[in-house]
Amino acid sequence: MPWYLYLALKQLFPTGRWFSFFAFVSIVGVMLGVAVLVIVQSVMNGFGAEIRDKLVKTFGHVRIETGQIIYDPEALIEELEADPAVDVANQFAEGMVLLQFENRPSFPVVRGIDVNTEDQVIPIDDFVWGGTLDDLDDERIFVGSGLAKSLGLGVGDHVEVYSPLMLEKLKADEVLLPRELEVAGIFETGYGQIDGNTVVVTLRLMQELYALGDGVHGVMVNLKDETAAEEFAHAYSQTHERPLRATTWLDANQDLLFVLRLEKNVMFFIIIFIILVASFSIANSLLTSVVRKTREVGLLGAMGALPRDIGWIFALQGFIIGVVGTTAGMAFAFTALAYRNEFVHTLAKWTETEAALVRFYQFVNLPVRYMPKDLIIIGLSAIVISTLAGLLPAWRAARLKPSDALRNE
Amino acid sequence: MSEATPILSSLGLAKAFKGPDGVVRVLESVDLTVAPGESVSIRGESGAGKTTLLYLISALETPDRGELHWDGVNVMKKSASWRARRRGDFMGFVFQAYYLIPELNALENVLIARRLVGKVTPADRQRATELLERVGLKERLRHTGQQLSGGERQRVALARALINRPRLILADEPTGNLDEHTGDEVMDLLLNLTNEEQTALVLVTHNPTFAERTHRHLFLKAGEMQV
Repeated sequence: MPWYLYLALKQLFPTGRWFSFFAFVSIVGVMLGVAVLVIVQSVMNGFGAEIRDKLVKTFGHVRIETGQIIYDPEALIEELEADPAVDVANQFAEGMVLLQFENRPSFPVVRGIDVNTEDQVIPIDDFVWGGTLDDLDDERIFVGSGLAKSLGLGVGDHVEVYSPLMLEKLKADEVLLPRELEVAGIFETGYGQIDGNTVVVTLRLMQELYALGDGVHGVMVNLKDETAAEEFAHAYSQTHERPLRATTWLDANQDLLFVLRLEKNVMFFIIIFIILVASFSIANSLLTSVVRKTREVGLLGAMGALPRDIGWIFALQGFIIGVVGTTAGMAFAFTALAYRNEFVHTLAKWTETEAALVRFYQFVNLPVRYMPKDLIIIGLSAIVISTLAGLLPAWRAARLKPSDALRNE
Repeated sequence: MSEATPILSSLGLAKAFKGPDGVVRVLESVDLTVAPGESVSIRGESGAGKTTLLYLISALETPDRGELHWDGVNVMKKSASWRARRRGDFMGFVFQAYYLIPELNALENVLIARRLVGKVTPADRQRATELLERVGLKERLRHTGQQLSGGERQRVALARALINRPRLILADEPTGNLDEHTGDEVMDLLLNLTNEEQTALVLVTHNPTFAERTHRHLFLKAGEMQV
């Protein structure tokens, strides 16, 4: 081991003691910064993954649409399912209706699904309570939880549905009779935009409401490899002429995904200030150490140390603090996250907010996802910042002339 | 003794410092030759330039003029890094204020001088232990500087100065911070050990009794060396 590394280690972890007070304070500073960063980033990754998962489950991986009615969806589905990348494809129709319950109107998006194959693309039963996909028929409807709440709806209630087609009847002075449907289930995806403004009916009912005949508005595709969605959509658009177009769940939700990424990056830059503050503490302590150890620096010079090697003693202390602080911070974060649910439940129990946690955040357990890239960025940032903190003291120490340092009183 | 190449020879060393009231000429022209194994004492009044002379002959300071040779090599013609490296194994230092590294124990303090010039081997550890035993610190090997008395600290510094088997020891008032009895003990050790190890010694001291115990006694006055 080079002597300057040996002395750097000894100044942080002196003989006869676990560590110096300076080392303790500095390492704890870096450790807290790293731990908070890892915890926040991992929990945000967890929430992000949950949201992305819900987006995929409600949208499918890719949608093939024309912007018009597709009258021969079976042929399209057959062609898509012949592609080895495709796992399953399912037709759908989507539009808006006027939905009324006890004179309370709303204008939700209505999605018509093929009840025979829908659960292969979207695991709808995962979201529905008070019923299952088997309960959905041409006389029944699933209502989003937010919408049900705003209308005061429950399973078994009857709602009236008016489609845009009825406007034509109105123009022709025909009697306007709404379609009366029974609420067969309430679904909750956890994605407010859908839960507050969507109803689900059978594809056949939707075709009837919109006078589509056998036509549909599009085909939802699930791929064998979810991550290949963009590649598949690009290839599809290249090989098929307009108006056929492929839209991935990433394209359709790019605003939300951008906000999620932005939020995570902003949090990173805010929290990294903890490490920056810790680095100033390291720099300050090391500068004080250089002043305090001026005569030792002179002694080392007298014993043959080169100025740059003397500088290394202090630069390496910053680096070592960074490495030890980062390791301790990661260990602390992993431990804290391993017991996160116990902590959250205990806290919720004490503050009597356990029910609210489930109701508002749709989770019982705090979601966490470790991303190696995040851990590497956090670790490297902490080590680089700590090392930079040691450079100014190192430069000061290296500039000390041994004879002046030895004369120092 | 005088037939061999001198361990140290300086010719016409001069040094001046800029002060608030102008240039202060500390050393005018100092000639000094030390033979292998020889001990030389330098006395002089406070401010006479004794410490400056030690820093000049150890190349810690650069002279304004004059020549300096270590073992026949003209030091001033060599690079700063060469001088630093050569100084590490060519000479050892004993200072008035000991300058032990507080984070290290006695054994580690001795070995740090070895680490600076190379890898520490088991033989080095053995020698460091023997040197500390020789200076009476057999029971204090694992004690840090704070756990040692002034005399014990100076003994550690003495062992540290000798660990690399230097050709020359430079001692700057080594008993200045010690009481008379302890000072006598440390001086005995310094003279005996340098004699045993055949190491030359340049001793800066105010104490005429200690100065008398060296082979040659010099006096620094008005920036020049007097016999």
